[in-house]
Amino acid sequence: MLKFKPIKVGVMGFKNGHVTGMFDAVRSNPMFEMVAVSLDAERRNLLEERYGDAHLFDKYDVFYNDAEMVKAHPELELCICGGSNAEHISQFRLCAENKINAIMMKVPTLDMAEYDEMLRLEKESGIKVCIELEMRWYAAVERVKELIKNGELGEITSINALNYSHFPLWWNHWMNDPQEIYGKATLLRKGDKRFRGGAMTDHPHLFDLMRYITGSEFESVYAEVAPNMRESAAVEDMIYVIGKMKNGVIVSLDPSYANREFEQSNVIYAKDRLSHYPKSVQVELSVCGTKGGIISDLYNPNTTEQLRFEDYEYRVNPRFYDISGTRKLYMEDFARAIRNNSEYKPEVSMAEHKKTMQVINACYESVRTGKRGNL
Amino acid sequence: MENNKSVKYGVLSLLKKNETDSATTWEYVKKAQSDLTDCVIIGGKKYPLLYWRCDPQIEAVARNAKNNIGGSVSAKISGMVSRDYGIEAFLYKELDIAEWILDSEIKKITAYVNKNAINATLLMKNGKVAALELGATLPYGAEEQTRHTAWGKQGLESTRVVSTKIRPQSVYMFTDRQEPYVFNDATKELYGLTLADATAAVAVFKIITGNTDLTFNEERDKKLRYYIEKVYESDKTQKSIEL
Repeated sequence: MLKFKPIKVGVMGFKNGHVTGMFDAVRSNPMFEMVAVSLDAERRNLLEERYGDAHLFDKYDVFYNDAEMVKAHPELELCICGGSNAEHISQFRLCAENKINAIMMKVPTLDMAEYDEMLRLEKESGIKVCIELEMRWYAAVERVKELIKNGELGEITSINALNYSHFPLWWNHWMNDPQEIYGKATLLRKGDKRFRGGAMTDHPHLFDLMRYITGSEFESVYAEVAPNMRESAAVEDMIYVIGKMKNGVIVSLDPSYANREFEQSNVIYAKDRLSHYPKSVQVELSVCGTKGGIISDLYNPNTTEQLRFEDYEYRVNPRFYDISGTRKLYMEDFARAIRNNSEYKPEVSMAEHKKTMQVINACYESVRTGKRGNL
Repeated sequence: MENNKSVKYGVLSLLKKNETDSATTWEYVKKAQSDLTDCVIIGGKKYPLLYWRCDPQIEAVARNAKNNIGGSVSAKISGMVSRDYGIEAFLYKELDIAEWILDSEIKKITAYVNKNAINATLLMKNGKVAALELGATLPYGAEEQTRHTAWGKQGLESTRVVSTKIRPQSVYMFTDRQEPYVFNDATKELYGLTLADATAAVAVFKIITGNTDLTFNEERDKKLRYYIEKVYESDKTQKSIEL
């Protein structure tokens, strides 16, 4: 390994479920130096319990306020903005004001005025920003895109995809709080007691993948929301979207929280025990063309089945090579760009990703109006 | 329209992606029909490549046979490889995996051999049992189809999920023939390699970056060759062979 001066990292939040994956990647990688974290006491207790380590954060400077962390550590070069979706704007402002490069979660914000402010701050501050969108890291996505591009299927007429997962509301309470997940409490539609901010907000990957694979933008969408499976959910958990891309391809997208989870947290979570359904997360996609079709499992079909623990829980777990890890490689690429002050071309730029956020809003508008929405 | 990138390409891709240099000059040599496994030549010396130890699914079975399933009691390895891979090479591989999964050396071998097929039971020194059902009959170049399962006091771990018989693929493309063209690109840095070649590339990468004990591989090679002799001896003598 070439000598590399470690990037000094701070974590804001820990509310997004992916932050722990990045935290683990940073603290075990010599290319990074974890300096400080900012999180609330409840989250700290939960993580210490989850990791089974009461000293998990002892090595780092711990704050209960993002601004205080940034003020105390002017040496920070990178922050993981892992708060609730509603907190992202303030975290991004702190990064821009203090020239700290930022990793943003999959939903930077669904408020377009806030999004425009982020784009302005990104440009004015010159910081490097990347978005953690894990589905862009999967090789099967590239394979599908290449087969389509090479004309193997003829003209593409339709693409259908699903992104199922459990709903983490029981341990990530903010994800069932419309203010925190969507940015404001907006009813789904007249006469409905539920709010925007559920499965569709949490699974932007499908909308991103459609844009990426087709190389086109959404022209129109229609969304139909089902009654919730979970009575405790304040936001939508089952929702279906159909639509059309500007290149004529029609799509059907299912971002539902279709996999039931344990209504538990903490200790159960420590065993990675999330859902009753044996595979917590599924991403599948099919393509219909005039010369042929594709059926695919984008979320690693190389699995093992497992019967485990005292109650013989059945699991199906994707298995990956232990030498790299896509998240690690993604973060190392970003670290090099920061250290070398080289041009960084993220797989998904903030400006590009805004279009995905706009599509999600258009789907919510469709739910509200009961009509197709044009983009 | 197939995965046609080489193992060497995959290794170079991994070195580049990880910004790592190989500590030495190296050459990967895929096994010939008469060989028992692939090898890596380093400094003019040939080392056996136990590439299956880098297979994430087999590794998960071996790992969890010691952990989440409450301690293993037995393992079953059932599958087929292509005729050109060869039954002895298949046996070599699975004997290693059986010991790895059950975390013990073999104590007793009982085997039946019939041309390109071998059925065997392995009693381990720790009292655990492995069953092997091996055949070398798939057509040339066909992807290996083997199920590795470990049972424990609190469950099991298996490389095939319920009701699946052959390895699932990530992409099935139906175009100009009845059966689909399939792709199973494991990672972006190994894009274009078959899954088997991707695993071999990872194994080579680990060796040339100093993350594999080559002495271990050499010792395993000797032991596995000895076990193979005993398998055939068991069949020939119609007796169990105590080691």
